[in-house]
Amino acid sequence: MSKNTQFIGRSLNRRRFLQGLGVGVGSALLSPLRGLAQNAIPLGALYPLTGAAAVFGPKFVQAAQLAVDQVNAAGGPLGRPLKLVVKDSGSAPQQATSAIQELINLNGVPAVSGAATSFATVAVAPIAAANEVVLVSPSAATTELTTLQDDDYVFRTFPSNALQGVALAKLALQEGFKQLSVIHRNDSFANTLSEALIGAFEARGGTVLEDVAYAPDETSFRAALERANRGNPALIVPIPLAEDGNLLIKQAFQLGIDTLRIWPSSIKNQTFVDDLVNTLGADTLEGVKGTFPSTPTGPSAQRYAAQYEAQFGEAPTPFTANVYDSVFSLALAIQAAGEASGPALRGALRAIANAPGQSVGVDEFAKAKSTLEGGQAVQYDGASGPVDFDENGDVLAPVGVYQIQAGQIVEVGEISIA
Amino acid sequence: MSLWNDFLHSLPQLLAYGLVNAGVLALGAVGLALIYRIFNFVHFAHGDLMTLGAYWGFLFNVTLRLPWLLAFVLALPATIVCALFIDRTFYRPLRRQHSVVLLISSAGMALVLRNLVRLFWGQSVRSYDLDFHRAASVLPGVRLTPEELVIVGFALATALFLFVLLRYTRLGKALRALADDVDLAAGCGVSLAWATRWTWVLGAGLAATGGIVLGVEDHLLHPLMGWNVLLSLFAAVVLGGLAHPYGALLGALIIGISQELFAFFLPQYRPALALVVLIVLLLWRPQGLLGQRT
Repeated sequence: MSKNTQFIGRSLNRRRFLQGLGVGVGSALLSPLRGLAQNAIPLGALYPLTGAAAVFGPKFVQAAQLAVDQVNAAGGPLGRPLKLVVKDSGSAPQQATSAIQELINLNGVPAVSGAATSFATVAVAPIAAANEVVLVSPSAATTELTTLQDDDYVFRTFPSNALQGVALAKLALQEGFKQLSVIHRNDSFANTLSEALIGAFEARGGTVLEDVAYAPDETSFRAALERANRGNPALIVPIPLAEDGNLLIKQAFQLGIDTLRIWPSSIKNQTFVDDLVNTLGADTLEGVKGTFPSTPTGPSAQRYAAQYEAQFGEAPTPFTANVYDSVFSLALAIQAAGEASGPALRGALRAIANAPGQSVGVDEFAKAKSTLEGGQAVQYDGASGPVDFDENGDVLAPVGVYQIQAGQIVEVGEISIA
Repeated sequence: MSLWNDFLHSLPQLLAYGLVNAGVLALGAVGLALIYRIFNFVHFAHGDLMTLGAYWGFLFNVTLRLPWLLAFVLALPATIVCALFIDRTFYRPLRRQHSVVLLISSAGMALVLRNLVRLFWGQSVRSYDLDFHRAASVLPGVRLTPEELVIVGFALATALFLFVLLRYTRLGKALRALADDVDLAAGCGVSLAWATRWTWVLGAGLAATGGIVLGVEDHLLHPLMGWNVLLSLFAAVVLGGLAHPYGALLGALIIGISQELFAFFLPQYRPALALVVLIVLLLWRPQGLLGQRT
């Protein structure tokens, strides 16, 4: 080999080395993790910022951030700050699945709080399970999640429709209705709640006349309402999401169908009611009742309500307590597991949530941390309830009854699900 | 009572809903057919032109707080101006190209229009500032709101207007001549520029009216409202025999009514029923109802 080629060989090597170094440094600078502090733990949040349940989304983000701020103020799990990475689950399952892929692959989250709607959660659950990422939904109610083959990666801080279905049936019977019809959205949440309601109502001697489903993006409910009104039932139970519920109820009243008087939790939302009152007048809605997973009244829940109000200047909206619990329990699980990885978090979630253990509540991360560091167990009692995960990752919760009085949603009691 | 009996019992009401539905579709379909007849391309942005018209109506009615009649009347020239601008800037340079090129260009325009709407008015749903009326009995077994009656009246008026226009006016004769043979018509002294402008005035004006009517009927405005109707519009136009405005009217009537009738039996598939009707009828008569066999 001539001297020249030897020279070339060496300078090429050096050039290649420098290029490689440049690429490595460049990509490290461009990596999305760059925004994080050196040792921060990314936590995914998948909430509906657009789409049928968008009325809930921004408040969910607030509640999640409250939990993160409190945890970080106590030093963060394992001494590392939590960083919330929020993505929109959107109006269709495809948006939710893309969003969770980003959270897992780009942001490297070990766990995700979300999704909020049942249809999105059912879509993203298999992805979470396949990627060994823990999913804790704060509001998905479909019964499908109980029996899902999820390798124990999917949990929820919200009770299954199986419970609310029984409650709706009992409420209808309590209010004196012996027959009813159902008109519901054709998706995971509404289909399973409708099934649960019909099953429970018929088991207790009621008759169900019609069970009508409408397409998720439907905007004209006239024919569906005409069908649901077949036989002139004294009660038609609507099971919509907020966006279609708005139109459904307006069009029903417009057609002179006044019988949509028992509502599910998916439309327990003051903004939703305000818009209807604006259009239809407060009298049309006076006395409408509904069911919802009820908010407990213990010190932990009260602390949450007070701190949410102090931070955001408004009382917490429905289901934000469940959001808070999903994030806070994940933080506790990371501390207990000793690492921020999906597989370890599965077992740790039950350990920190269920008995036995020293009781810790909302905003008591410092106390929990020192207990866990001392080798003792903790038991989290959250903002939305006792938060005890069963073998399917479900929680139990009492079901409450709400009523619309003078255009305001008022919680009026509980209904037993026995 | 059996399901069929209940259906018959509800039939007058369902027919009435069908007529209202057909009215909405007719306004969009006629414009679509007219544009196809004159320019020989499928205007994929027609649904979003309806959306644009509806949102102009929102701007005048809600943001500027004008009374609804004035607001809706003003929305028409606003949309027409936009359509003329779009034609001049994007479609005219492509006029001599293959119609597929124009189709794709209009599909792109559809995305642009939809996202312009999102940009200015956001993604969340809106509604017009109108009084809320309950349906009242207009015939035995038929209850309609005043708005719905107006919509049906409008659709009938449009049909009449179209007939008079095409049959008796100079513009109508020019349009018919152009539809038959562009060069021959130009040779006979028909100004292409003048006829082009008027086609867009009619097409966009009808689209804007259709959009507003849709917004009133559904109590709802959102960026995808026109796009969601586009498939049913195509169904109506194709059913009628593609290039015929009258055919589009007939197609809209059939699709509109059958959608509501079938929805009594299968409400969760209501959006798809328009296309099922189309497929069945085309199997029977591929050239459409008023089309000529080529």
